[in-house]
Amino acid sequence: MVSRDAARIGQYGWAMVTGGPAHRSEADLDRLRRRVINVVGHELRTPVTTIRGLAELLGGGDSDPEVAAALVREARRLESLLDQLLVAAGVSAALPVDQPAPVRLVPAITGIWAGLGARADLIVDSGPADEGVAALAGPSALDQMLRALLDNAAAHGDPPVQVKVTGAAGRVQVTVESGGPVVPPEDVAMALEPFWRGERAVTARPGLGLGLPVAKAMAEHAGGSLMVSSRPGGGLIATLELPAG
Amino acid sequence: MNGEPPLRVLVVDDEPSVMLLLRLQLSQSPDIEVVGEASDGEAAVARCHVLRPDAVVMDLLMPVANGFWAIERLRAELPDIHIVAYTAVAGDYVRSEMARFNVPLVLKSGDTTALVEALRRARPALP
Repeated sequence: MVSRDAARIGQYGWAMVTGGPAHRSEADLDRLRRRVINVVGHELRTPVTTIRGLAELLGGGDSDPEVAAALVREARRLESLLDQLLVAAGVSAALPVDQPAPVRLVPAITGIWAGLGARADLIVDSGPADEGVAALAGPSALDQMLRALLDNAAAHGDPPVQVKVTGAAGRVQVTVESGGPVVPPEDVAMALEPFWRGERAVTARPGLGLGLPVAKAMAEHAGGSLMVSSRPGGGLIATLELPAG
Repeated sequence: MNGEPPLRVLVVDDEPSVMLLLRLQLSQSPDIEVVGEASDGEAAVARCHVLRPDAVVMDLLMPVANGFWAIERLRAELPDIHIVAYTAVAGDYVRSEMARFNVPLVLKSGDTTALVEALRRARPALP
């Protein structure tokens, strides 16, 4: 009943936005949605990236440093949010375009963790043979995927955060594990859905609930996958799989 | 850098604010010199024939003549000019066309690091 009502509301909602007939098929609505988002994405990205670039230039000039820093910070945030929204909405046109290259995972992970400034400890569980394990992915895309997993664990999990890197048979796997309350199965199922945030996240800090869905879209675009599962005893396990580099 | 002359770059975009931003940002790199601007594909090809830049930063969606048209013309008429496609969004068609033309593709961003790196990769090919 709920899903039928939601579908009907969605159908009329799109009719209100687009001025088109209310009786469209699901496939038509999906095509229309993608066209709208693609056009909106293009029309929004240009001014947003321009604002961010000009803000960065002001930051280096004679402007009030506090004002300039706030302008740069918010412009970067706006650009990042827009890109996440577009990717989460299924706009493949907003996915990073950098060419796949082998990227060693352990240094990438420890580097991102250091940059997050998280107070929790990170434990990287990888043997000597796994230190050189590399994924084949666009470097900026891989950075965003790993950052989403690590940031999510640091922000919403109990310390320490444990990461395991393994590689075999042409594939590599990064597992990020963090403790916490037992997560109900229905919440685990929603963790990779855009705009969903668990109860703990909603009360802890602001956000749109796009980090993991965007990482999932990027992983699939790179020929891999992202899955989330309950951790025995409480918390979550995020498993990222990619082609080996 | 290293005593070499700066990379001479033509910037092509129909948005004046983007043009302003690119001119200011690229001028911060001592090894890059913006030698001209154009706001559509037709003007871009004409400017290339006059200025003979080392590289072109090419927007794709433009009036009069778009970037796809300009890239095809430049590949045929001035194949030594390095082209970097610079666009707000890159769908499957854009990615496949740029792969077909062997033109590197950079998404527009307030951070021009990726664009500058793509331009600098033109240098080994220069005579």
